[in-house]
Amino acid sequence: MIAAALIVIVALSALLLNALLQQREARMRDQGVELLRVLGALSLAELAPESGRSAVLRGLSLRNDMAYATITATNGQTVAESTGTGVIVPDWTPPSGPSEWFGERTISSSANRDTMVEFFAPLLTDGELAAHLRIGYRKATLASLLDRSNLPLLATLAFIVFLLVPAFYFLVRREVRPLAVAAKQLDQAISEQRMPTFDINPNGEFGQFVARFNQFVEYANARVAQVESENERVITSTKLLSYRKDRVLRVLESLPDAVLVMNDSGGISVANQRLESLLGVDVPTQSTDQSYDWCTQPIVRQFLSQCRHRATRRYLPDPMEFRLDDREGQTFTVSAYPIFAGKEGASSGCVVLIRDTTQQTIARSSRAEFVAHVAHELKTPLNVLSMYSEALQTADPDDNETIVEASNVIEDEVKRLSALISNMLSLTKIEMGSMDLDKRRVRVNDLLSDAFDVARHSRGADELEFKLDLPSTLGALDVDKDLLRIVLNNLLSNAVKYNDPGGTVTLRARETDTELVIDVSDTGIGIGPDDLANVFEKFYRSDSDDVRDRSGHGLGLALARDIVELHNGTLTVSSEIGSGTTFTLTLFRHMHEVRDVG
Amino acid sequence: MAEQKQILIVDDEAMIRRLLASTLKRAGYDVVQAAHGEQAWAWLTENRPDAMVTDIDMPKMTGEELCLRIQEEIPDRTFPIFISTSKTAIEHRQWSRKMDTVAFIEKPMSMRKFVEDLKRALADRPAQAPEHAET
Repeated sequence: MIAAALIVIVALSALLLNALLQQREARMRDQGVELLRVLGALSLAELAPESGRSAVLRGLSLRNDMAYATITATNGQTVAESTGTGVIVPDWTPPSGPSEWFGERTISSSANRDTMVEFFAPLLTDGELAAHLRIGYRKATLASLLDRSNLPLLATLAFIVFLLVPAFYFLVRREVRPLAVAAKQLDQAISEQRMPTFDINPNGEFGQFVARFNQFVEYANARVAQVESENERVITSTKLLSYRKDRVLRVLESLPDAVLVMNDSGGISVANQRLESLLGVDVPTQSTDQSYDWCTQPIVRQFLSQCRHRATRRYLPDPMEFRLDDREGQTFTVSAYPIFAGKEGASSGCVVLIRDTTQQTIARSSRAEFVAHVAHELKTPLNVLSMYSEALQTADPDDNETIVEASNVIEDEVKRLSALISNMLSLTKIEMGSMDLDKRRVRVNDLLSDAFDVARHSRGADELEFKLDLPSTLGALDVDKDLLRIVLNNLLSNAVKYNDPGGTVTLRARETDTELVIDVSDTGIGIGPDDLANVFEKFYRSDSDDVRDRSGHGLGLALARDIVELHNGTLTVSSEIGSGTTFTLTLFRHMHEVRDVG
Repeated sequence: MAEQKQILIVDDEAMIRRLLASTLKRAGYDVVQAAHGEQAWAWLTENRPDAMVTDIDMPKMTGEELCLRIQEEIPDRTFPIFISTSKTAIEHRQWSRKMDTVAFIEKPMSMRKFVEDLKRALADRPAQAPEHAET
């Protein structure tokens, strides 16, 4: 800025000096020409008398810029002259023709320090050229201007410059100051990494610029905020989407079934890892393959092909059950469900589920087995009844033996049938969870004594010895009396049924603060180790001939255990072939306390 | 009086066995009882009955297994076999087709009818040689 100011000052000074120079030169020319015209009117004799000294020339006051005045004869001889101090008159070459008698020439010679400007004119005597009058001036130079005579001018110039420079400086400074502030504020904004705004209010165009700039920044800030919030929303929704996708995939992986999602073209777009554990098939990832070669199980491959062919017709194959050679005993079911998309409910591919249905198959077959068992167990006593009633009908009225036997058998079988049916109903009720316990306070002593009496008077009890071993202090217990009586009757009737003639049936009870333990023992045929493990299974009957010889339907113990467990008690058995069997029934007095302890 | 003809009764249901035995005894037959196929087979290795009546569903060895074993190991069998079953004869057709002189009696069986059938089947047959008729 200062440099610019200086340049302007220098340029102004140069222009001023140049104007001065030209003015001086013009004045010099006017003076020179005027002198020549005045002096040329005089004769040579008047100018330069014979006496030799020219008063006219001498009379010319040689000013600072006039260097010399001289009269040179046509032969080149100086007729008269007047010179300034230190000035040597340059040589003169007479002009060749009258056209060059008047003139002006500039002489730079080494003889004089200054460049000379010489004006010359002819001096005539009787119309003849007699000599030339020459007046030389020093050519005005910059240095000559700075001499003392020009001091006031220079002082004026210096004063103007003196006044101009600070004025100019302050002017420029005033204009530039807001720019500097703006630059500083910009720097600060950059260092703080924020959008800049100008906190200044200058006048003029820069002021307008600042206002517009601030407006622009405001607009830009608003846009940035908008973009940022949009970005944030996008990030949030992306995160949400990714979370949901992750969740869906996790759910897919948590399913117990193998899931394959088939798209419209038959490619598999999603599959969970269960396929691998279920069928030992490598899971395809984003497979567009439509031959399903990755699936090493031909049945599944075939099913997938059917799905692909039928998917477009919105008619998928029916679920199919299959077994695998290398998975003995396991059954699987593969099924397909259409995926509906869009408002029209157009189908876009399907979901294929492969499920391990072994349990269902087992349940189904065990249900069928149960029904078969029940049918068999019902049919057997019916057969016996039918045959004995025929025997009774056809018996000789005197054949008392046959009549009594048939009547007894019929009575026994009807009882057996009735027991079987009620046991089966109770068992089914318990297994369905619909058996309500009617718990009441019961005197254990009475309950056990009653059951013991029933057993002692049952068929086949005559040949046995009965022992009842009850402490007189037995308390009361909250139980379902009817159900517990079934348990005791079943255990005691087994003890009678599987006893040997002359054997003993013992009913023993003991109690502690927390539990009541009831033992039902016999000294009969006993149960072998293989049978012992299955003795509580429904319809389980030993293959032992001793057992088979005694009627039974294989439900009594299963029902007994279910009832005991319904009371949160336990029913266990210990036995030895040939020595007898003991069933131990344990009921807890305060179930919750005992459970906590246990 | 001719030698008593011997009937082998195979049934796991003691009541049925007992009724069959008493009925047949009254009809003049000698009776051998077995509770299942295995017991019957054990007896058959040493003896031959004049006729056999067997149940199907039995523990240890079923009636079907017993019959097939007899077919295989006693190829010169001449005694008739009566199969008493709760199921229809159709269910047993496949295996029983391989066997000669097999008759089905559907349970509940009529004793009177069975005795008549038995009599007819054994009408022209002499009793088995005494050495087979032990027990």
